[in-house]
Amino acid sequence: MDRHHCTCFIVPSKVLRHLAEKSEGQDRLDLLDCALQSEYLRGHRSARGMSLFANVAGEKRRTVYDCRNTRTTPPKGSLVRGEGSAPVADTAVNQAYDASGTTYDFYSKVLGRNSIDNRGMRLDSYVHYGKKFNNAFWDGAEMVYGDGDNKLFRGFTQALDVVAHELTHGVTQFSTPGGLDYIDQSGALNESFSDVFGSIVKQWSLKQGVAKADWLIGAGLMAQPTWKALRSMKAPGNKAATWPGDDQPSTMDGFVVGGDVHTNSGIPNHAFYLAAMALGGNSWDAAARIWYGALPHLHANATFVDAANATISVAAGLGKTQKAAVTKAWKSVKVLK
Amino acid sequence: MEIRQSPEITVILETVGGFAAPTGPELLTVDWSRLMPAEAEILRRDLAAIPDTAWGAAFRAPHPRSSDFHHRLRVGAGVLERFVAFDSGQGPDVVRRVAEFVMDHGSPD
Repeated sequence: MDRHHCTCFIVPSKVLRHLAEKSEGQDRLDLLDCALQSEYLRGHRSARGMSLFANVAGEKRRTVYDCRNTRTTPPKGSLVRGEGSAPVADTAVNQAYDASGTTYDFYSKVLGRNSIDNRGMRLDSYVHYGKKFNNAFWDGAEMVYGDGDNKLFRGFTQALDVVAHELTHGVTQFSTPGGLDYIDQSGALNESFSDVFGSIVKQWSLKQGVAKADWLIGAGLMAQPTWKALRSMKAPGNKAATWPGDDQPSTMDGFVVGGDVHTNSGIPNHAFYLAAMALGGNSWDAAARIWYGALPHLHANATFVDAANATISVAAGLGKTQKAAVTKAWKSVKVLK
Repeated sequence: MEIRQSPEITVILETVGGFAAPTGPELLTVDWSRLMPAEAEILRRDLAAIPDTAWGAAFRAPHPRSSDFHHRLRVGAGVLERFVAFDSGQGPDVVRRVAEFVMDHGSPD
């Protein structure tokens, strides 16, 4: 194949994808790139959500694009930094590069995972998306960061836990059969797993044990001086520790029927915090392995009880102490009786 | 609804999703005076093409993903305002086309 000059659109993209699945190394990359280009030009945006940005197994590859304050769907930008290249003058570019790399390293070194899809997916980041855009998101294929308006939020690339949170949505998508539907309890679990690993990656990066960790999500990101973070896993709903809009319950007593996934995620978040504290040491040791190990045992409509049972089952494989700690945590938040 | 290039026609897109979802929807408003004539014509045409059955409806993803956003397109003329709610990738093509137009051309104030 003539690399980087793929114009073979007479071949259906699904055939290209099938061939790529059967290929290895550079040939696989070329076929996947070809399939992606083909689907782009055919206007099949849904292809972006698929695992097309594959990479050689075990090889980290990051790219950062500058949207130059434009806002398009999908995002468009100029390539400003690639894997192994030197830092650039733009802080947001370097932060996105570093944070995605730290998240990749955590999953690789601690959990033995090969990128987001466990098949070497390339990590693409788009920075300076829109004008004063108050958000960051994983769109199923890449990370997109706004600069914030400095009234509600600051630039999103500065918060490692936010980057790890969003990338973990991809991990969940690829680890749980059918993903975790982003609604009701399964959606709250989806959110919670992202908070859990967002916090763990931050703690791992800082080499902080569970006793020293702040257990906050999005600390330092909110622009108002008195707003400290978006959520607290230690004290969900404690507005003094977070911000005035924090409505998270910490136990099933406060569960909101039909509530937002970001609200009810406070319950499994707090269960993880309690389990990690009981297990002691570093969250990335036993606690991270237990929660990560539970993901494949869940399903699209998994409930909090399903998550409790899955984590307890994985913990039991590590020992009686671990099983007891996790069981007590889920009972404390009243998911189990 | 008659769609004309008029100050009375308001086009607003509310969007919720991503990390900042708990802080509420982002509002983008179209400022007709900032559109090129051709752009305004495209928007007018697409707004007029939204089927009557779409107004007031909610098109939700059957299996929503974390990468999905919730949108609410509001179009008002005088005291009358209609809306259509939809998740990413759901709803009539023309509704999504209008939403993308507002994302590209709308302003947050």
